[in-house]
Amino acid sequence: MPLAAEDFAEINQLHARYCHTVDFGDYDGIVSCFAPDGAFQLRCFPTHASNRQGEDLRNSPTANWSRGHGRHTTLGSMIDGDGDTARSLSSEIGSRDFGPPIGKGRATHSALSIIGIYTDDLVRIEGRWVYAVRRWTRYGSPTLAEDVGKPLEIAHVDAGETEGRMTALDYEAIRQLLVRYGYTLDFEDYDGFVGCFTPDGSYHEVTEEDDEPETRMARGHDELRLIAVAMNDTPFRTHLRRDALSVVIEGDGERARVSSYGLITHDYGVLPETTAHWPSASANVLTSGIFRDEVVKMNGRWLFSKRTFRKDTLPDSRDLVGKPLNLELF
Amino acid sequence: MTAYAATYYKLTVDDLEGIRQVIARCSQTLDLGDAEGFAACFAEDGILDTSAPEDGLTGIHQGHEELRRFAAATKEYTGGCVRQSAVNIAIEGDEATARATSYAIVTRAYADLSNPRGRPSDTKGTRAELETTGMYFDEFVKLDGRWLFSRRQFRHDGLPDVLARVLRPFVAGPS
Repeated sequence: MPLAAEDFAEINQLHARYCHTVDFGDYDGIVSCFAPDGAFQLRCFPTHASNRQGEDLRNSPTANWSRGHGRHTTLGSMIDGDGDTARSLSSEIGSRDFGPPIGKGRATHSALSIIGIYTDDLVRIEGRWVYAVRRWTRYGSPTLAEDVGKPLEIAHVDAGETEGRMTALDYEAIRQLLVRYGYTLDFEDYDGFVGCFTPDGSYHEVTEEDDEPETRMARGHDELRLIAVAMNDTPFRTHLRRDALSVVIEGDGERARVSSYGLITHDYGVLPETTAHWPSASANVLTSGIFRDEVVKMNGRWLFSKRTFRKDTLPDSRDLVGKPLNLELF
Repeated sequence: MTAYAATYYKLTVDDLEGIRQVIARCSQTLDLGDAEGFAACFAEDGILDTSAPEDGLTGIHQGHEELRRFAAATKEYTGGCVRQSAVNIAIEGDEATARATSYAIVTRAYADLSNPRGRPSDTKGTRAELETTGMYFDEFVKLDGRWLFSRRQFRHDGLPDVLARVLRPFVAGPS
């Protein structure tokens, strides 16, 4: 039995609650996110691997570190499964604040410290989804590098037949498509990347190169594959992560427009094993921008028919400011 | 079924989606200076209560007129280059009202030479930085089938309202 909209919703809620309970030291809450024999595994380096189960989940070094100042933030998730088991892959960033605002015009000093990936096995027990195994792997670690170039195993959401309106499953499928786009690009799963687009789907972006606007365009899977390879031709290759936030969706169940923020972060590469466990900072924000997409449902699967991106501060992004929000493509 | 699961099962998946969409729309309308669209995310007497320290932004803003003024003032400060997103959105509620707690991630994009912090840039052209983080404590009301903010509270991380939640059971919405 495929997952229903209620399953996706509850698993997404579980991901959010896990982060809240860890960051604020709600130790009972942490344990309640797991099956009775559930486990949390840290996968960074062989020498820093750990596995905590049962009551030992309360002894979370991460929770002790956070204490209201650390933040584990799930930016986006892909989920698949059947009636009683599921798996999920989520992008995560860690940050920490260093105190309240000081003086007018000064925001709280917070710093991004780390980026990683959660891979979860979930199980439904007495009608409630919990983690059987939750794994966190640091970006830039050898363990995660092994996934580069491998096909993404998590399936597209089957959003079913069109009902003449946007269903909760449609919204979820579209949000997961945005996550899939980022993951397959970052992890160089180029078949998976072009599979996010319709056969004649297109991508159009304006970024900049040497302070000059640079336009990239591609139409059809062959060109899209080439542009994906070109986008990874950067010194940050395999260390970039592309996420989509604040996803606004409008549609009729067959076709939809999407506006989202693109956030690109990067890690600083593999640190020596001896210092890599809890580095004070190993990642940063690189750039931001706005995606405007047209997506269509084909055989129950939502795909990009047109995807456009503009880096923030460039003219097309600035032109949006002060106008009613619409979801027009760039 | 545990109590925590039961609380948000009173919300349908359409309700949860309606709430997620109004949260995302609130971010985009505010960041892109759409004052009317931002105010429309709130009930007529909706309240925004923010710890933003800048003149014209700090404190409580109630009703659409004040919310529009807040959005206009925000545009002056941010220049349309700030992106605020709510993530880790945990929601509870029933048929007519709901509450949510989420994290705020705020980034700011700079054209290369306009970085006011004077930090060295390792890339040419535009780049972005983490501006700040915080938390949203939201309350919603469903009016004519649409979920709207009845009250949104934003607090920077590190402030007492945030730290008061340490070592306490998680609560969706204001504690």
